[in-house]
Amino acid sequence: MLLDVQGLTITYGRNTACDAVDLTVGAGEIVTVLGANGAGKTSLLRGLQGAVPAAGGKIVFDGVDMTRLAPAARVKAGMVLVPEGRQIFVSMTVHDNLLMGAYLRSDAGGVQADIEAIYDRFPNLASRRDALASVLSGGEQQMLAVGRALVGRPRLMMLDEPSLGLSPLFVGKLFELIADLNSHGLGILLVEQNTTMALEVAARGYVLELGRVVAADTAEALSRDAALTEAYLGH
Amino acid sequence: MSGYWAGILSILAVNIIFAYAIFIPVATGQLNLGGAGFQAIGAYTAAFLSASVGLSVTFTLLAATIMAGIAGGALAFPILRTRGVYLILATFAFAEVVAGVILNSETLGGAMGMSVPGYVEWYVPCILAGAVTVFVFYLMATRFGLNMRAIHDDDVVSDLMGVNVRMTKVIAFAIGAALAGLAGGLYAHTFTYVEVQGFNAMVSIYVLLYVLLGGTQTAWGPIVGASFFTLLPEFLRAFLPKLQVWVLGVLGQDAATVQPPDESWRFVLLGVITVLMMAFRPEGFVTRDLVDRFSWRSRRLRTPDGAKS
Repeated sequence: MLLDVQGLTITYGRNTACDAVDLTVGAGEIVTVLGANGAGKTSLLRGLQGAVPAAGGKIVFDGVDMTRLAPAARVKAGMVLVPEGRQIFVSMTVHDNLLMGAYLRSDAGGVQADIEAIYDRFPNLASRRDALASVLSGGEQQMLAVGRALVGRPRLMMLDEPSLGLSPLFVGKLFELIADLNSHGLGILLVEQNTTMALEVAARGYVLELGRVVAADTAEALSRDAALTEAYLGH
Repeated sequence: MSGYWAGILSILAVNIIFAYAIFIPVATGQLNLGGAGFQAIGAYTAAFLSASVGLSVTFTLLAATIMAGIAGGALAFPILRTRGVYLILATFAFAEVVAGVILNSETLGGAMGMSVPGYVEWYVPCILAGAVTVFVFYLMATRFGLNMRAIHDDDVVSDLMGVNVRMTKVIAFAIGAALAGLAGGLYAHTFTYVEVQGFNAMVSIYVLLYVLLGGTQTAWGPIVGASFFTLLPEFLRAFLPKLQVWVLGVLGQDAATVQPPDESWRFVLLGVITVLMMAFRPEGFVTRDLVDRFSWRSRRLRTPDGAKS
């Protein structure tokens, strides 16, 4: 198992955002976490990446206990988060944004090659490598955020609502990209509100409600379960 | 060179170094409103070592830089936990504490101030200002400078990328404090006299204005801001009486019968310019776009051939 989360609890003061969440992602698997606003999806990802401390439970990545480790150690181990709302560095150039993704790598040659590979994948970024990231369109910014994460050579990429605010065209491109990255062996934990698309691309899914896992099944079973989608996902 | 211009150049050089002292933490996303406190530490370190120990200027300036840097690093650890307005208040309070300590210290002359035996000619601050400018441009081009800008944009995401956010902030704050100390030491040796009133809250506010109005996106901002606000009052000193004569002439009055304008009018105009700048160019005078427009490198890269290279 690439990522094995047992009983993860995350609290903000007296509020419990995630309540004893169990979750696994296999190597090269796409797993999606669904849920309405405030279900605790973002808190879960932040807890997994170490931006907020775990109040209880265990996070094991590739056999190593990450629960008490700093975000830097988790990035180094191969976990990377693409944060919600395309949080790129807006006053830095496209190229500098990509360099930040390789922050913990010391092989300059390898980083350069990987960045060139990102430019090959996203020609829109290549032609604007010296432009400020703030001038990119929403879709391009999302590509940059994904590219920045890829430069860190992750084995597990966690995406927080990547389709939020994107045009239908870009949403389609984005899910193609996720499937393509996965076909090259990248494990993906996808948090989405776009339930239909997420269940199409994922192998398995979890449904969160008020911080608890209320359903866990294959994507196929989840998408067939009309009552479930009605009750928890508001469709 | 006349004494007047030598004096102006010295102040300009000191202000440029001082502006870079504030720029480095600002570029990392921290407003430092305690600049005068660090400058005072530098100035009094240099003054004391020059007057009581008799050290040469080289060593007093070095000591001023190091002392202020250590004070900055030591202060940064506790206060960088605070953010926004609380950080500003904490740095402001620190400067007041420094002033209070000096005011009550007999060794440092208290309210009387201290005279400084070591004197430096105008070119010493100018050369050092040049060196500091080169240093800051270099710093911003390094990996550390990249981290600074990333933290300025978003410290949470920087943390997620694995950047040691806290250490970067502390180091940036300490480097800034050290530069403020150097500016203070140069001030002491240029004017050969220090008094604590010279390092009041207005000084902290002015230097922050130099940086914010000059522009914080690139290292060009502080030098432009400091130059503009140091030279503008001198320009107005000569220009304001002429302006008054012209205005009175338009109004049909005889200029000879009216008093020449008061000194304080210079600061009124300075204030008006400050407000106008904030209204029409809040990101500061020098922005990255402006630098790019004049930069040979980016023009080359915008051509189709350059984009492929």
